[in-house]
Amino acid sequence: MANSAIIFPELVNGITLGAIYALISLGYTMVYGVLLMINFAHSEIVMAGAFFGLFLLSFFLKFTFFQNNLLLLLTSVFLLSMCVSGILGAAIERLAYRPLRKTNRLMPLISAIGVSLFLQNLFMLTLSPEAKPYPSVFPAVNFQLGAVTINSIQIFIIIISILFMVALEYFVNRTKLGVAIKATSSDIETAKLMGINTNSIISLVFFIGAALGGVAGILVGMYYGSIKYNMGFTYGIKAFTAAVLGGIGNIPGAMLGGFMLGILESLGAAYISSAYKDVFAFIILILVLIFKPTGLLGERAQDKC
Amino acid sequence: MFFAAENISKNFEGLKVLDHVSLEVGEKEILALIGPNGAGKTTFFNILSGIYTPTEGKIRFKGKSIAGLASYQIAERGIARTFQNLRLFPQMTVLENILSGFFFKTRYGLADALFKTKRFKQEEEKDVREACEISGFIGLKNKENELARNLSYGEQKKLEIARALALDPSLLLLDEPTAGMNHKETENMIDLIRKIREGGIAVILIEHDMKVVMNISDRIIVLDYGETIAEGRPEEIRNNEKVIEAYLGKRT
Repeated sequence: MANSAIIFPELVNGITLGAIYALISLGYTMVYGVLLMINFAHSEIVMAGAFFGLFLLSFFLKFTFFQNNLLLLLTSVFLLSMCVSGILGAAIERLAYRPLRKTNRLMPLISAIGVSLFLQNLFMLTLSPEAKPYPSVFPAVNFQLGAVTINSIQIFIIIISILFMVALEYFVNRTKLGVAIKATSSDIETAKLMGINTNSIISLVFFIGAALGGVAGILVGMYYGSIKYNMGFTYGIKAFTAAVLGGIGNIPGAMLGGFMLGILESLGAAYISSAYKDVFAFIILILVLIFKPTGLLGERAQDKC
Repeated sequence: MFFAAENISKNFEGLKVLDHVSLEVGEKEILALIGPNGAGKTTFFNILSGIYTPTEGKIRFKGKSIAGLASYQIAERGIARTFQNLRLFPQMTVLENILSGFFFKTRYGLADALFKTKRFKQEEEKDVREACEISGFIGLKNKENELARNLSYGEQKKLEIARALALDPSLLLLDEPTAGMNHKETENMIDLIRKIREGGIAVILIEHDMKVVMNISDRIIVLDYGETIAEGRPEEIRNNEKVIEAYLGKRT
C-alpha cells in the first residue's frame, strides 16, 4: 500500500505534468474544433518549441544584462519562441493541410503524419540525435507546504500554464476574435456568410495552438533539464488523450482533461507502479473512447460535411 | 441599378436548377421571390450570397460585379442573409451571435487583444453597445446572455435577422422569415421587415405565406422549375394565369 511519502511527490509531479498536457492539448482541441482534424504534427511543434527556447536561452544568457534580469530573460524567451512556434504551426497548415482541405478527410491526417516525421528527422539531422541539456535559469528550491514538497520549477510551470489558459479563456470568450473562432468552430459555412474570413481564423487557431505547444516544450525542457528530437511523441499522444478525455473540440475540457490525466497517471504510479505510468494514459484513452466518446465536457460532435 | 442579377443559370451535374433568371432590386425595395417547392429559390439565394458560383450569369451590386467572390467578401460588401432552417451558432450567446457580424470590421490585432490596449477596449465596448442596440431593435432585449439554442423558435428566427443586421447590410436576403410562426408572430415579423426597410435596407424574401407576400412586397417574382414565369406588383401576380397554374395545376 502506498503511503503519503510516495503519493504527495507523485501528485505534485502529476499536477505539473498535467499543466503541460493541458497546454499542449489546447492545440489539438482548437484545431479539431475548426477543421475536425487531428493535427498529428502538433507533438513536433512541442519539440520544435523546446529547441527554439533552447537557442534563445543560450543566446540571451551570453549577455550579462539578461543573466542579471531573470524576468526579462524569461519574458523575451517565451514571447519570441511563441512567435516562432506559432508561425511554424500556421505555416504547416498553409502548406500541408490547406491544399488538401477539399479532398478526402484522411488526406490532411496523412499529411500531418508526414509533417511530423519530416520535422523529427529535420531536427535530428540538423541538430543532434542525442539529448541536449537545457540550461537551468533558476535554482530548484524546495518549498514545504505541510506534508507536501514542491520545488520552484514545478510552481513556475503550474503558474505559467494556468496564466496562459486563463488568457486563452479570456481571449476566446471576451473578444471579437474569440467570437469569430467560436463561430468558425460552430459552423464554418455560416461563419463565412457573416463576413468572417475563415481561412485567416484557421491560421490564427493554428498560430495560437502552436504558440502554446511551444511554451509547453520549453517547460518540459526546464522540468527535465534535457530535450531530444523525438520527445514530442509521448507528450503529443498524452495531450491528445487529455483532449479526448475532456471532450475534443472543447477548450475548458482540454484543460480539465490535461490536469486529470496528469493526476491519474501519478496516482497510478504511486499505487500500482511507476513503470506502468505510460500505460495508464492509453488505458484511459481506450476507456473514454468506448464508454464516453464525447469526453467529459464534450457535446455530441456534429458532422459538418 | 442598386442590385441586379442577370441571366443566372445553375447546373448541378447536368440538372438545370436555374435557367437564365434575372432579378433587379432598387434601394429600399421589398421584393418577394415565390414559387412552388423545388423552383430554385433557395439555390438562387445561395448564389447571391456566394455559397454557389453560378454556371452562367452576372451579378452587380452597387455598380460592381460580385459574382465569384467568396461568401465572406459578399457579406463584407453588404449582402446579408438568413436561412430557411435556422443556422445560428447554437452554443454561443445571443450577444456573441450578433457580434460575429462585426468581426470583419475589426481594427485591432492579436497583440492589442493580448495587451488590452486602449484601441482594443474602445472597440470592444463600442461593439457590445451596438450589438445591444440591435438586439433591442429586434425585440430580444435582456436575452443577450442566453445561449442561442435556449431561445424559442420565434426568437431564434429574430436572432438570425439580428445577426444579419450586424453586418450593416444594404441588401437583406430572408429565406422564409415567417415559416412555422403563429399569427401573432407573423404580424410582428411583417412589422419588423417594414422597419428594416425604413432603415434603408432593401429586402429580397422567399416566402410561402401569400398573405405576407401580398402584404409587404413592392414587387414579386415567380419562379417555377428554375425559370421566371411572372414578375410584377402584388395585384398583377394575384390574377396571373400562369402563377395560378403553377400553384394549383392546370384548370381542367
